[in-house]
Amino acid sequence: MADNIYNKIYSSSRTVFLEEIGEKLKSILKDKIEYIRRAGLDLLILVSKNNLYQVIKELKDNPDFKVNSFQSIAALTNGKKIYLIINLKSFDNDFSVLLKIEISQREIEGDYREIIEMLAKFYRAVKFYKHSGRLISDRCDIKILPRSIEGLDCFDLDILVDNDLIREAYVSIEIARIIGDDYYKDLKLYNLIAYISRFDWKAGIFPEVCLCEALEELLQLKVTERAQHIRMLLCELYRISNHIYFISNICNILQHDIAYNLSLLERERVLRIIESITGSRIVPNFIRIGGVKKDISEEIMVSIRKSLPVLFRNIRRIEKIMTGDFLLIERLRGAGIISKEIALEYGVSGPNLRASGIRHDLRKVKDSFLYKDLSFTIPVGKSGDCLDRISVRFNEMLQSLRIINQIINKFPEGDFIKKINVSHPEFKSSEISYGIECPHGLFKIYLEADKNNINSLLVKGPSFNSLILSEEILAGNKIEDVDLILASLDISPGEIISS
Amino acid sequence: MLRLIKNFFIVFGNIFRKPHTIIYPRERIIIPDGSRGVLHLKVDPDSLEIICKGCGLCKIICSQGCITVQKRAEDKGREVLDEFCLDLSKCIFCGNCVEFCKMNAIDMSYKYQLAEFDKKNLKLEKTELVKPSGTIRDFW
Amino acid sequence: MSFLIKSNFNILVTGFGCCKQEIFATQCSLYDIQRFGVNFVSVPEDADILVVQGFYNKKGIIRILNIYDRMKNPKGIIAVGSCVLNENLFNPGSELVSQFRNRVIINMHIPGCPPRPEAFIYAILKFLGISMQ
Ligand code: SF4
Ligand code: SF4
Repeated sequence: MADNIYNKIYSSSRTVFLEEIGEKLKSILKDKIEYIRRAGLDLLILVSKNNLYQVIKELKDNPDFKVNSFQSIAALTNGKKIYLIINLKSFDNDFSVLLKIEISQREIEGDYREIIEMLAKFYRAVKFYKHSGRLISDRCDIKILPRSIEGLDCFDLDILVDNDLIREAYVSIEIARIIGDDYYKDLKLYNLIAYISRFDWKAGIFPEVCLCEALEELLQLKVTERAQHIRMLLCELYRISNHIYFISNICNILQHDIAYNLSLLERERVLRIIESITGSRIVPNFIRIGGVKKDISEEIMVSIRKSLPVLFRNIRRIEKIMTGDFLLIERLRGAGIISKEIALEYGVSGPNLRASGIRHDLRKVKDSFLYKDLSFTIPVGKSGDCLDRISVRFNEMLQSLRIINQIINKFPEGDFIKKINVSHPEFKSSEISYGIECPHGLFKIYLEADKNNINSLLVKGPSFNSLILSEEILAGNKIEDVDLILASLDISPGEIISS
Repeated sequence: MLRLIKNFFIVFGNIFRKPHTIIYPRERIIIPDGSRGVLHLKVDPDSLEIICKGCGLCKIICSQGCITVQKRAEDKGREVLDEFCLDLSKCIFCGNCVEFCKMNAIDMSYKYQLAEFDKKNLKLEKTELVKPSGTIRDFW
Repeated sequence: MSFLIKSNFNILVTGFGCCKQEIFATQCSLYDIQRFGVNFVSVPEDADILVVQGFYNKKGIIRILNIYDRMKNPKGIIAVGSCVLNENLFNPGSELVSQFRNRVIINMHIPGCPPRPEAFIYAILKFLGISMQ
């Protein structure tokens, strides 16, 4: 009964489409899989280890599915059992699958190696997991340690060179493995919400929004319009602050002092608006299950309305300064080219994907937020070099300003939170995977819940895919461009500690 | 030539512009309303007593375990706060304790200038938490 | 004459964490920490002060100890954020940070998660002994 109502509220062509694909897969794979069901946005398939090869072969080679992009692999504990979750995606048919594999307690290491070896036959991106942890320090030419620039500070880089061109590059994230296994086990839900914004500290609101929306879907709760508008407003503000910080990082590397100072100044302006809404600059702790913590007062609205034109003018000015400098343009053009096929294969998302010419934005695809009522365009680049990645982000900021303008012009009245019992919520016991478009790409959460607590939680940020990709694209570039290319991928260290 | 004249006017305009920089120790940024700083124990303005009764809910809520509360029974069965200690080195300024307090007895002040040579000084006692945070807001 | 001796003050920021962006925000023209002659450098031999912030595992701790050894005397350490003052937020059981605190002398503690940029400037000024009027 509850299921029926639930599907009616959220019924859309998307869920029907996913269920159709699920049926098709079921009829083809039959006895090779245990079960297949829909978990939020994805299809969840439980496979035993012996059948994995045939299942992936079927998924990849069948023209009906064409699962050609590798997203992530992660370990998950539920009670005493240990699972591996493999996330694969098909861009042609636009759906993604989660393969869940149980591995035995005793041979965790051996099983993991075996599965990685097997996956490497299908997907090139798995190469990273094969060598990770075992660097080639003894035979590398140049070893680059973490630098003090934000985003380049959480990994080591080993480089083999040919005169001044890079031949091969290897990334190691050994110093970034700091997360304990079950930090979320004895945390209450309100404390988990306060913690989780550290997983993406360049734009702290997105993990919170993602977690709360996933839990709302489990509780079958619909948020009021005013709360959704407040959430959208904060998301766009954080998107601007993240992109402008990215620009300042690039200017820092290129030693362009004027644009560096101007962009940091604008960042302060945006953070000030954010602070007056949420109460903190970096870690908001503002989203609650069923709404938001506080209402937005009329004063703040006026101050946002006043500072929008100033922001618009100043961002345009920074763009003009940067694009008017032909030395800078020449340096950026042609460095670190990502072609379409490679970007798809490595599972990159967000502005990095759009810069190489693919129009894909979750804000337009998914209809849980109210983005479908607003008019905005998705900027795309052409060739996918550093210049494109920067100009896509500039255009995205201007589009975000346009969205904010539309949001504050039609701010609906009403409640900003639905009161529920926060300390003892009752979940529908199932698993769910939920995604949201954060400034770096597709931010994903996978969680399993039983009646009143969360059993297991996986957080997966998009920066990790960009980092894997950097191994591929650094080859063939000059050594002095290494910092520039890595910074232009907009890596957020918080997402790397979480994988 | 045209560009030169244009640049001249830009420079000329900038001479009379107010500088962006805040000369920090002398001028200060206004902290917006509702920003989260150090905890502050509210005082009843009429009777000048601390509102907090020492129920200990915030101690349970806090994930870092930085609050210690003790209550003491006075005559006629009235319960008053005996001890309230905040360890600043553990606090992450999440604001959950304020949100959950049933008596509305605590709030977050605007105090943000915190740095100590000795870690022991970061433990704040009741007498310090009651003080209103010095200069609450300075204007510039 | 003392201002001639105390001409420059170099800071090295290590680690990765959310506090880092707040520390580097002091460089921007709104706060402008360079008014006090404070520079951010990236070579340990140049640095007077090591700023420790953010998340560390075993390997990271060894690295900062190495960096600290390479710095020239007189030197000091400023600890920023509750990650270093208390314990790692996501790995509460680990003893690494407290071991690190026992190995070195920390000269200044800045609480907050993350602290505001003003708090960092305040700590530096307190360190340099500039009066706050
Ligand atoms: S703000 Fe958070 S960490 Fe600090 S005392 Fe309150 S609940 Fe504890
Ligand atoms: S102390 Fe807080 S803000 Fe600083 S790095 Fe740790 S979690 Fe991030």
